[in-house]
Amino acid sequence: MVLGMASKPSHRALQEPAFLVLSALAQGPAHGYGISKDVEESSGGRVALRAGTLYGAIDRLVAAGLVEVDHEEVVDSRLRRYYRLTVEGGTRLDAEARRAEAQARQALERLAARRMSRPGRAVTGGLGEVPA
Amino acid sequence: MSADRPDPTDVTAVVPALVRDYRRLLRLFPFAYRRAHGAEMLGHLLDAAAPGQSRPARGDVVDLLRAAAREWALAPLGPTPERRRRGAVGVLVVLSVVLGYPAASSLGAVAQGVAHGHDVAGLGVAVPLAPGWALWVLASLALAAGLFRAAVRLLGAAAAATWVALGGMTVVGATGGGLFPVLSGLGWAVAQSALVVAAAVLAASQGLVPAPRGVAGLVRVAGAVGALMPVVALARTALGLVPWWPPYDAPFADLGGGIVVVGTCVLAGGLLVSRRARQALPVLAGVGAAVVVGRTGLMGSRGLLPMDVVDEGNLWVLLAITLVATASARWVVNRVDELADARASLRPGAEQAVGPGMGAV
Repeated sequence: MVLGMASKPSHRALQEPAFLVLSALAQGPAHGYGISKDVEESSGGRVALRAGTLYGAIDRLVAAGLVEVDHEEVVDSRLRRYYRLTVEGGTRLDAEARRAEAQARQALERLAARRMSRPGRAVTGGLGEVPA
Repeated sequence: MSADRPDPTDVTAVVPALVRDYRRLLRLFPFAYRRAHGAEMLGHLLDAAAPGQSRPARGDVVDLLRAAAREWALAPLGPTPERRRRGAVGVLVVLSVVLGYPAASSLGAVAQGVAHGHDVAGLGVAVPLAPGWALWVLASLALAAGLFRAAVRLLGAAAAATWVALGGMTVVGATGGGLFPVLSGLGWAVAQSALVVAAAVLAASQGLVPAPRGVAGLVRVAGAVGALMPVVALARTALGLVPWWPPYDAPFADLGGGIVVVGTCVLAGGLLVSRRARQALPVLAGVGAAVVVGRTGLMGSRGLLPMDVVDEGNLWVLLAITLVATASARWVVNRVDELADARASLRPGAEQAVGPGMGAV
């Protein structure tokens, strides 16, 4: 590999709902309602995937080969279809998570370096710089 | 298979009115989607309902209405995301090439008129639709460059400009000039709208798993071919050469009806036989109906009857014909797909029964 030449990622970054659905399924097979509850909890209530949106997203992930149907069961006369990650889905989620982690780490390192270079000033949360 | 599906009438743990209302909302989805997800969506909605809840939550209603609208908008391309992607590719390839002709004709006529100092208002239908075609050329160039998301935005702007122009032409036509220009332009507006949906489907699927190089390359080549025609037309005008494009309203107008019917049947049959290409057939059938019927004398649009305010209903009839053509072709394609799926599922069993090597006697 040529030094300084970054390898171009083969996929675009996943949109947040797709990432959160894959992340929910990383724990094991889950049905639609279970996925939406997990997404809501893991995003701190910021993302709520309701039924209409969720099954559209699941359809697209199934078509892309990232998710597949695991099994079906009937509980209280209600159909529950369980989905699971495919091998490709796990690989993709792993790559996305690492990319997000690397970006977050880089941002934190830059903020830390900024604080070090300006010891007399403190960085506030998104409000610019104010005297310490 | 269906024996283990829940019987919705057994759902007794929640208020019956809630079950009824959710089932009514789910009936708004296309049949194929309901068959695939209806039961599990109902279970999901009831699981998420609060104890004693008797009416669907407002957020759920909005979400379900939006999802149903999305499914109906995408239904002409196919019932599943994979089939929609195939349909989108077919629509993009065919319409990108076909629309190069009216784009060249419209933009070329305007450029020619301006170059010769003619009154642009006298160029008729070419002028109001020219902004839409100019945006469409930019969208085709974006497609050729592989910038699918930019192409979606530009195609959306092109379609919006064309629909606005047709609205203005309807008002003007109703008060004097006649509605034939609107009828002849309506097909192109339908075609541009179909391209928006197809490009959006392709761009969304590219975000998850990129299409094979060959497929993406085919779309890019089609975009380049479509953009080339108007670019050549404008270049010839700039060089003072004789325009090569026929008058704007000429397509299909002077062709024999028999040739059009035979050609359409051959093309439709060819698409239907191909497993990959047939998903594009319903949208192409709808666009073809809008373009061809709007230019025939079927509704008096060729001057057989005066087009005045009384005949504005013809525009709605033309849109209805477009929808019927699309829905009919979709029904046929879905049945052909079901037959193909059934045959594919039986094939392994048949091969096992015959045994390996039995054919090589």
